[in-house]
Amino acid sequence: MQSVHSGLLIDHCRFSDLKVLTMRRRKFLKHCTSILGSLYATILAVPALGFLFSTLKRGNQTDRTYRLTRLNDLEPGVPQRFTIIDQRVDAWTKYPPGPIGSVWLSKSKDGAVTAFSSTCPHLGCVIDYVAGDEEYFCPCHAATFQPDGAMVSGPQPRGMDELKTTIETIRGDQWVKVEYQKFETGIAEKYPIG
Amino acid sequence: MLPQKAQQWIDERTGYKNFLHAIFLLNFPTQRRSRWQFLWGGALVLMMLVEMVTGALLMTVYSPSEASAWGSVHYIETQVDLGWFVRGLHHYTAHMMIVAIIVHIFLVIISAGYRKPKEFIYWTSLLIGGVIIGLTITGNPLPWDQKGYWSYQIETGIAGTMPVIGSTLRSLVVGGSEFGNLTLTRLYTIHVIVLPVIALLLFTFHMALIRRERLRTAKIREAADDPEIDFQLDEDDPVKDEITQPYWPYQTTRTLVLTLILMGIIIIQLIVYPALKNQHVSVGHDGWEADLPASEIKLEAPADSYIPYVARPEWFVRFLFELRHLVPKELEVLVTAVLPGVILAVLFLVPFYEKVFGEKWGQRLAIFVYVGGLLIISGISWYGIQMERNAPDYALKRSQEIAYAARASWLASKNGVPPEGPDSLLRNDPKSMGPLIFARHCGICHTWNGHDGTGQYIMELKDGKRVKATPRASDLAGFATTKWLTEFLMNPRSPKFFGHVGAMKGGDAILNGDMNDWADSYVGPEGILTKDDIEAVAALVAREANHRDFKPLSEETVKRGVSVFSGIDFKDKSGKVVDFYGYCAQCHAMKAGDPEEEGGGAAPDFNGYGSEKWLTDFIRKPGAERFYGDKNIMPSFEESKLSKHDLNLLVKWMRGEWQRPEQEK
Ligand code: FES
Repeated sequence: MQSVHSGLLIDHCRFSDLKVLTMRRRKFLKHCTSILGSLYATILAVPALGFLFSTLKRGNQTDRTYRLTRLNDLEPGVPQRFTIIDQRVDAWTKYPPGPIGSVWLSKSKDGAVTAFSSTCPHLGCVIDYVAGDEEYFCPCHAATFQPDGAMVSGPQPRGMDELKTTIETIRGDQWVKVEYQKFETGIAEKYPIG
Repeated sequence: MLPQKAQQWIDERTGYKNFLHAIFLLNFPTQRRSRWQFLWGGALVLMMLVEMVTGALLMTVYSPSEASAWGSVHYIETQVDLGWFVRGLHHYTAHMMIVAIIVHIFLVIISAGYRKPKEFIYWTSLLIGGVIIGLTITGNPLPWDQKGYWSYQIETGIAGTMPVIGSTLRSLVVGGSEFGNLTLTRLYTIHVIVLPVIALLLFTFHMALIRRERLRTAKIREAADDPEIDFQLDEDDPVKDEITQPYWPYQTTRTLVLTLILMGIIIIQLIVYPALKNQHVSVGHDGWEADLPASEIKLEAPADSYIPYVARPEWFVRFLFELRHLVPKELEVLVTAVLPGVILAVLFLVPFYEKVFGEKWGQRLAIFVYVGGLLIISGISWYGIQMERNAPDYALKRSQEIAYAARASWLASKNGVPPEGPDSLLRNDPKSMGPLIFARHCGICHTWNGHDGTGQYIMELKDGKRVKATPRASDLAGFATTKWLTEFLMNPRSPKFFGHVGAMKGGDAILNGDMNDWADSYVGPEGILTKDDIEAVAALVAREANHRDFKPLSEETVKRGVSVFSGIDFKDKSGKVVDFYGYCAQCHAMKAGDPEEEGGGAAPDFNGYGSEKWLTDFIRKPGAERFYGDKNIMPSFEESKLSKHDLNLLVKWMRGEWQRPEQEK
């Protein structure tokens, strides 16, 4: 801050009262500069932060319910995979309906239906079902799960992600509806994305 | 802030204080006399900073490709928080910078800032001005909307007329001969990397020169003031009346005041201007009503060479565009290539004027050339804009453009932009495409509310004067509605319907055919049919079209309509059942009006009359047995003439079927 006294400058100090005046004026102007400078910075910074952070919260897809199959079409004890078809919106682009994910549905002997997201909680590969071993198996890093979704072995931090199901009767037929959702992978908690 | 000790510790090892002083001009001596004049340079730097920050922000969303550019900018405007503000700031600050550099150079000239040893300072400021204009030219087309697309067409076109290098330059910039993805990626590269880097280099050079010059002056003053040194300035040496003053804080305060004033203007502009921009046209000309209020239209329609748009260049190149139209074709290159070169040379040579004319007159000449040039250029631009706005169909064209812009924005907000690109928003929209398809295929003979669907008229030369051409067939606005049918039945020979067909080959058989005889015998004061009868049968037929706003008919109307159509139970004015020989079913088939299933056959089939299917089939083959048969005089529009897609849009548009804002409520 003392730099204004650089030797290059004309000497303001020839008359001492003039010097006091000049110093006061300079102080005042310094204040002005910092006030105006912060105003300038604010005009830029506020919109900048708003802009940046609002683009971070993209993809806030609300969970949606999909009608997948008739209850009677499910074979008890044999999990079946269903593809979720929906429109996908990516920022400004809206894609026509297409596969956005898949779920495993299984019906127990007493008719209760469970649904699992087929996304592996380890790093997000698609989980297969091995009928012979009666277990779910992720081919990427060999995670295995029990038919009820619990961990058997492998690197995954949690069991398969169960999804909410409901049964709806439409014109006499019972239909299975699933609330499809995506979850954060690689962590022990089941934490929904979006 | 760091404690004093730490500051010192770092400074001893880096010398950062000196460095900061040099960079931020902290102890940079400034002339006192011209302190208000040199603020514009400082303001330009601060505005450049605004451009860099907002530009970087926009880069985080913008996507330079044909399919996504428009969508991403629309997303910025409508979805991103304060996106409209950031984009507006970026846009209007750029224009303000052009104004600022014009003022800055003017002030340099009037204070003789080009005089030895400052020639290079002057020249670099000219070059920086050129780069700023380049940045604006390359920035405007980036949203890839109609405005940017067409103005860039003009600008690259102007570049292409340059002798020798023109066409190579153009294809280099455009990325081939046609506009496309490469045009955008190149524009983007030029806009965000090439020009900014050049601008920064020029700016550094410019500042280094100024610094050198100021320090030199300060040293001279110091030496002259120092009694120990035997050095005196000449009486008339300009350095004599320079009292230098450090840049910081004296100049910084003033610079910030000016910058904030300019930014205030920019912010007012970006808030107010979009609403005012289209005030001078009455939106909604000839059915081109906009789906959004003008203030909410942030972008023109997506770039599409099929959608009409009048190309207008940016205001600072407008004069070239206007001049180009004023000169004959062979001289065009004079305007587009030679003239800008001459302007540049005139500006560059300013420091040498004084060599020839002496200091006083040299400077006067420079001021005269600069101000005069600006006045001429703005005069030409102003003239061009006035000419365009006063053109007879300007209001129509502009409201058409606004309607397209609004439509595209509305559709994009409603449905999202499809992956194939934003132009498909309008290309698949009956409201937007219908008028164009109608004008192209049908408008040659038919009319739509008197015009060709788009609000234009087909003109023909009559006795050396251009006059509206007489249509050759019926007016189809409101086709197959109760109102249209009623009017037709009351007077088939009216010019709105068969009136003009007589002029065509075979048309007489229709003009003076059975329908005409029927009207002569049964309609009118002497005829047996009342207005109510006509309206009832018209409504009955119109029901076949099932238009979106068709109101269900009362039972009474249906009964009455059927009685006219089939002649069964027909009651005359007094309510007495009488024989009626003018019933429709003799010639026209329509199950809903014909209990006895007489089935017509001699004239067009009315089953599904005016419906999507009926219209499609009819347009494809009006000479089919079901329709006009061998009486037909209308050309058929096969797939090769009118694609299925276009026909579908045309039919939907004729029937008024498209996505509407009011339906959403
Ligand atoms: S992703 Fe499934 S095991 Fe790693």
